[in-house]
Amino acid sequence: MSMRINNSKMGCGLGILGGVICMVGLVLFLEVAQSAIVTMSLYMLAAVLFFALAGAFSRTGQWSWKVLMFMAFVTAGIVLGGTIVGYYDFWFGFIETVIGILIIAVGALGDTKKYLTRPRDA
Amino acid sequence: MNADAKKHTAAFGWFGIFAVAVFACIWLACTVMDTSWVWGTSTISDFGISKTDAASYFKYGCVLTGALLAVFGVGEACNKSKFGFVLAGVMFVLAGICLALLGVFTLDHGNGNVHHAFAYLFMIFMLAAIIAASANYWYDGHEIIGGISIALFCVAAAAAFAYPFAHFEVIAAVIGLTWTTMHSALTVASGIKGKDFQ
Repeated sequence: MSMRINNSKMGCGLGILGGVICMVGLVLFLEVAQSAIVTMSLYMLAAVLFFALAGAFSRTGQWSWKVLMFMAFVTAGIVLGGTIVGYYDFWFGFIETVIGILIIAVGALGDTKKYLTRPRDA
Repeated sequence: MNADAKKHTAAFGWFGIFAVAVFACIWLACTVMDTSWVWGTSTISDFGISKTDAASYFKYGCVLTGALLAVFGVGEACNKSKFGFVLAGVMFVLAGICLALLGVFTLDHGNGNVHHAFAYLFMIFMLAAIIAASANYWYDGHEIIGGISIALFCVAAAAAFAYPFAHFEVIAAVIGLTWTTMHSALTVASGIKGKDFQ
């Protein structure tokens, strides 16, 4: 098994981990109140984005490598911004931001880029 | 890109770094002088109508920072070859002029509308410069640099939604200073052999 496939799997695993932590966070910090709609929505948004990132680390994924990188930065930015302004719990946001940065780092690796941009098998 | 143009661009990059350094120093000095200024409650423009020496610091600081930013923009527009960077340079010049005028027309000038108009124009021009340069970085294959701008934009957008204007303004100012430092440093680095941010 080549190194390139391992990098891609690592990115996929980090995306799934980020998404699962978001779902756990949603349960832990659940508030059933109209005033908490924005906060709860942001937890769900982060979960969706992380799972989407996980799916993109595949040669038959939904995004090109450039779009994957763009969405990885958007995800990290949303989690970081949400943490700074207090929408997310601090430690939840901290862990998710670290995972987001790790996903960016794995995505930016030359081997991952080559693997994801190689012509797709029809 | 010939060697002379590369050297000129790198030299102009220092003006951007000086602009950020001067503004940061002036901001800190104003905060020390005017103890009534509260982070997140007062706007940066409030320094201009302060009863202390902070008012003078703000006025001269804005004019000096605006001039440095405009010179940096001229260097960008004249020495760089790619459209995004040239456009960002022009936007920096306009933003610098607006910043200098912010120091001239403070909040107590008339009913404050002139000051507000230049403040909004400054923000628009800075945002345009950031978008233009970031898009150029992205399409040139420097995705990490372009991506940092995207992440910073998300943070600023979150602050805009969550906080009142005064709190958002200081966060946006810090983000703007951070981004300008990064862009200027990369411009300086473009003078180094093998680095191409032109």
